[in-house]
Amino acid sequence: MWKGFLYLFRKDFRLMLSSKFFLLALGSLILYSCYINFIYVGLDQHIYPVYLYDPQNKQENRSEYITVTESRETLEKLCSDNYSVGIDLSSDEPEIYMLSTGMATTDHYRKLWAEAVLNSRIDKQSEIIGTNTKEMKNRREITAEFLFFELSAVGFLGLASMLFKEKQMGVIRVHGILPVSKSAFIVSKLTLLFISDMAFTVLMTFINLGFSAGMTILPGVLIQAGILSLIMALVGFLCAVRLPDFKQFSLFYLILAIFITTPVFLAGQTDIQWSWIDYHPMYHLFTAMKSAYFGMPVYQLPYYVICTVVIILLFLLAHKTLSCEMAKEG
Amino acid sequence: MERLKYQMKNIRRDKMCILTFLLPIVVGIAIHFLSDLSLQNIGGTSFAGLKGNLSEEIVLWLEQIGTYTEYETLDALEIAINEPSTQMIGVLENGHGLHTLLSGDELEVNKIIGNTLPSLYQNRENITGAKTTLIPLKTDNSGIKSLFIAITLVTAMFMGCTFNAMNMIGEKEDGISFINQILPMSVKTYIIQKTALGFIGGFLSTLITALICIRINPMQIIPFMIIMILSAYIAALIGLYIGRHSEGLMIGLVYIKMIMIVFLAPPILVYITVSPSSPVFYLSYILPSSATFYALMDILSGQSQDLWVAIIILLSHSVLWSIVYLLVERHHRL
Amino acid sequence: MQMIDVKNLKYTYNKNKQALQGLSFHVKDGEIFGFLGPNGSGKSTTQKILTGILKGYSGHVSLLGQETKAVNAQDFFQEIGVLFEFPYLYTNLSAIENLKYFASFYNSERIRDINELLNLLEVKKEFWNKPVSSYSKGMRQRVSMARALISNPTVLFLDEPTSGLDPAGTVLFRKIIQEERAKGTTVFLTTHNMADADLLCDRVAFIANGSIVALDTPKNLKEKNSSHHVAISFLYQGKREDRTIEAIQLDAGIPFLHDEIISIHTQEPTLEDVFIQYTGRGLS
Repeated sequence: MWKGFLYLFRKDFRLMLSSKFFLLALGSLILYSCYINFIYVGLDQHIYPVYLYDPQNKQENRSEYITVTESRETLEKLCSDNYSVGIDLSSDEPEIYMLSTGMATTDHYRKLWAEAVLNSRIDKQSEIIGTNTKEMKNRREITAEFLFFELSAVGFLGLASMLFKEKQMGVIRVHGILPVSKSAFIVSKLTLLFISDMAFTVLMTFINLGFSAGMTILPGVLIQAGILSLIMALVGFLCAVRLPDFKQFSLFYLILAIFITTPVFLAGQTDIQWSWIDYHPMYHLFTAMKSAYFGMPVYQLPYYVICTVVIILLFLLAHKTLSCEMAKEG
Repeated sequence: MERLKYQMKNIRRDKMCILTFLLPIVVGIAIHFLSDLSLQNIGGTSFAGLKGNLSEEIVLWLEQIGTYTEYETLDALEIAINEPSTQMIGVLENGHGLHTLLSGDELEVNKIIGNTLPSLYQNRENITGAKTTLIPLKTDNSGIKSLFIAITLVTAMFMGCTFNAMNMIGEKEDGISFINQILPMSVKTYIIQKTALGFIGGFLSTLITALICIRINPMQIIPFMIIMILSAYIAALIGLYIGRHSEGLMIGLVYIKMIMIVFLAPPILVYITVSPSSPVFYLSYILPSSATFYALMDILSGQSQDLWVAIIILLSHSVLWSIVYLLVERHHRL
Repeated sequence: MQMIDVKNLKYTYNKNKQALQGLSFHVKDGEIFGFLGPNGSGKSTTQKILTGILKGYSGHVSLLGQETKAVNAQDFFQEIGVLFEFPYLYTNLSAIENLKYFASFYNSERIRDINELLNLLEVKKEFWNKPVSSYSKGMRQRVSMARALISNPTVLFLDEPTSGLDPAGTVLFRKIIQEERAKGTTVFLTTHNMADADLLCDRVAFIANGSIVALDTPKNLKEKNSSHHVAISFLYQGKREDRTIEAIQLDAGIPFLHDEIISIHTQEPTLEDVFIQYTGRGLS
């Protein structure tokens, strides 16, 4: 029954090639890598600039954080970004001028900062307990996010679009009466997508983290990418077989991409604390992927047991759904 | 109007278009009800300490300049500081004053805050207490909230392209494009009809979202409406291009995804990271969404001096891309 | 009057492939003209040129007395109705909404009553306001026919009108096409259905490899290609026998001994036989 697997695999490869799936993946790889290397790694937020208007030169020892301005108007203009702080020493009493950020705590800190800078009372003393630089952290973080998005949304779409093509052509019905196992029909597609996702993961990691940093974390990343790839491919397979047309499928895709991944990104990317996020299955896959990129792979046995059970259940469900669909169409 | 009514009816029953229409509105409602406290978490400075280590006075002082979280053990505290998604600054008291812990991967602003916090605390008594002039925000929208609102509104405006693009792709898939070829309908009528679909969808979605989540100065209503109209028109033009050049739903979706990324990400990044006087900032006007985004940020912060620049840029984009579309259409027919 | 006049029509998709190789034919006012040919023979290309969709041909094509290259497309499309091979409709809209939408493009004085049309095509009333997505293929085809007829066209182009219809629907469509002819509408019918062509068409043209290989009335085509033989089954001395003779031999009575004649059948070919004879290919 599995002797036709190779033919199925070759047919699926040709279908994917003709649907420009690999070209799209390559395009995404280039787009993501350009964004990471040319834009994201350089992103930073500077400390609140302090502008000083001191016509009588009252301040002699000026801190490195101070920029002198020529007039009060210039000072006000420079502070109009709701971020910078101005100090006016033109009158007897020093005046701190600033536009509110809308956050009382931040405004209060800006005031303290300006006063400290004015009085040159700033020493640098803190202990570094982490191992990442800002650039490396940015690279690991954004690569993990793009890979997660690519595997969970785009790969899902790729497999489903291939299956919809077969559905439209009516050849799924033909497979129902061929001497080839339904499992082989599913596994052939899964294998192809799995190989493609693994190749994408390796390239994405090496291009954006560099070879040596990439090599140290690659095994852990590949495990997480493999789990995500299989789960999403099986979900994509199920939806493509169940849903009657591609339009309904794309609707589901939009919901998945926006409503399911957005809270995951928000919870994983910002300080927002949601207790319910622990019940969001994608959140665990996302944090596992991110941890792998930061060299702290998840070692909890229950996580892997649950993932394996989910993959097996999804496979059985996909098998059953495919059988029903073949019978329905026949 | 009769034809437009049926076209609208057709997309109204398209779940994809309904979702696209409602998405910004739902996000607008979420932003409206998002309390300032939860937004504070995103934009403010975060401090963390060890339970029982910091005195009440220090905690109160920290809470005046940021948020403070307490951890049971040093390990838990270090894990929280090293957690890549946070910018948390660890604060400990060691008998001589404060001692700060940093992960080393923080943004410059948090690195400097962490480095200078001990001396800032130590010298808190010696601060001169200068007179402070704090100009409040001209609107109720806080910085981060404005950013969210502007992103949502720009998304709503440029999502307008989905309505006519999906309609045109749907016509191709259902074979209606064959009927269009033999209907007594001019190319001009067709273009106007499809542009109107995208425009109405994008405009209404933006208008409802704006009514829900922003309160602007009455003087800015007219420039805001002009910006909204021009942006929705450009989105409709983009929809025409996508609908015209997509052979199937899959290709159409990929185009829409790419347009949304290209139109939304650069303006936000440039706005946050690049100075308005930089050549990169001017270069970003190559995307119409940049003009819309910067103008919305100005409106939300109560400024209006640069709005006319955005209007001129959007107008230029509208004229340029309309001419290009008509030329392409004419070339195709020949 | 000639409603459609085609002279030496040639069309090439690319340098090497000439789709039409000098077609010449005409269709008279109020005539039902059948256009038959195997797949890839140039039927669709010809219909696209006649309906003004495809330009860039050489030769002369006129419809309603005007050269199709020179006509104003909007005025031209007011005069024609086209039924495509597949029922193309807005699936989110109901039959009434679809028909109202398409009708809105035509001059109001041409428009037929939508309810009357749907009744004529026997579309079930309970479906009139339901989305087309809930219709069967046959019902969609009926609504498509209504769309083609909505503007009371002077020339009606029908591509496989009875495909996907049940026998009752086929009979109904034939009746409607004949009624259209009776009203004076010219019908250009492209079909694979030999029964439709035989029953409906005043004349038929066979097209193969971009050329017309035969053009006449179905009756003449069959007669011309008949061997003029009859097959006779008879009983003689208690045994049943069959014999085929030339029809002319019957002038002098049955030319062989027999006790009882069971049946006499003419050996006239079917339209399909004639087609195969001319083109060497079936109609599939």
